[in-house]
Amino acid sequence: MFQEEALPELDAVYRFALRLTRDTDHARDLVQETFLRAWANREKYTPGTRVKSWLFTICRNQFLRRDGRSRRHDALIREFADQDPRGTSREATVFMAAADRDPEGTFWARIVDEKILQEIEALPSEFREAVLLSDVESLTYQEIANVLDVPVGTVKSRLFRGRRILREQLYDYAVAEGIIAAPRDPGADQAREDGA
Amino acid sequence: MNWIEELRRRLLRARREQPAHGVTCHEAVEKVVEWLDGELDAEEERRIGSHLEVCARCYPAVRFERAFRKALERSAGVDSCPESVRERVVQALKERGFGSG
Repeated sequence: MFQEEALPELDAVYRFALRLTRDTDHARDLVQETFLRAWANREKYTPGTRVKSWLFTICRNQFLRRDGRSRRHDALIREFADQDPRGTSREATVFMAAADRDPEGTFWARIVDEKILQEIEALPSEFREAVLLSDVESLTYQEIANVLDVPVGTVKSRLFRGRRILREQLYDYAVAEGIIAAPRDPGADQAREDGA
Repeated sequence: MNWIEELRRRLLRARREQPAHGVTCHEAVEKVVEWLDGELDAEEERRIGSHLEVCARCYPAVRFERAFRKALERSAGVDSCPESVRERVVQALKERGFGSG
């Protein structure tokens, strides 16, 4: 199993470790620890389940074991994010805000990778993990729930919030950089929507 | 506003409110995230998809969201494990019996 199924996931585990740690040296150590732990516990792997999901679980547990302090820091950020006044008021507004100038969202493709990665890495870890596991690694809600050891409903909520923060931050960046034209007059748009 | 413009607005609104493929926009919007995430069962996926893919009001939002997610995948999904790390991992595994039969 290890040769055929686990080792081919080195790239995915490395990506995940890199985004968790935000540090290449730390990520390299974490990848090695993950595979050594997986090898030592290979009899615990359940055949038929996705090995990538199992490796992510080990990787994350190792990371949390070593990184208790930054987890507390993230908890503070999350608390702040939960109170973000932009929260519900800006929900779904990125599409509406951009719809008159770029309804197909072509501007997303013109935002440089470095900026997108920067914003992903700036997310509180709970949101970052959910977004990466879903949108980059294509795990199902249930697989993500297993990796993060939370209910499926929590996965949905974290995905929703993480994606929303990313949409807003990247849209604001795209406007500031002229990647998409600035809204003509947000007040006028709002008045038009209210009147519709 | 002249009456032609008003009539056009009313017709457009009426068209939007008609269910496409037996699914209303309201129902489709409720499930659009799970549909995009591939989390609906086969029947529900077909039913919601048949609405979202043709509805003039819903489809632009779907296309917009797909473009956003594609950008995330493109940016965060390109890193590959450096060869030095790969070799180090395999070496460490071999020292613990991996590949010895």
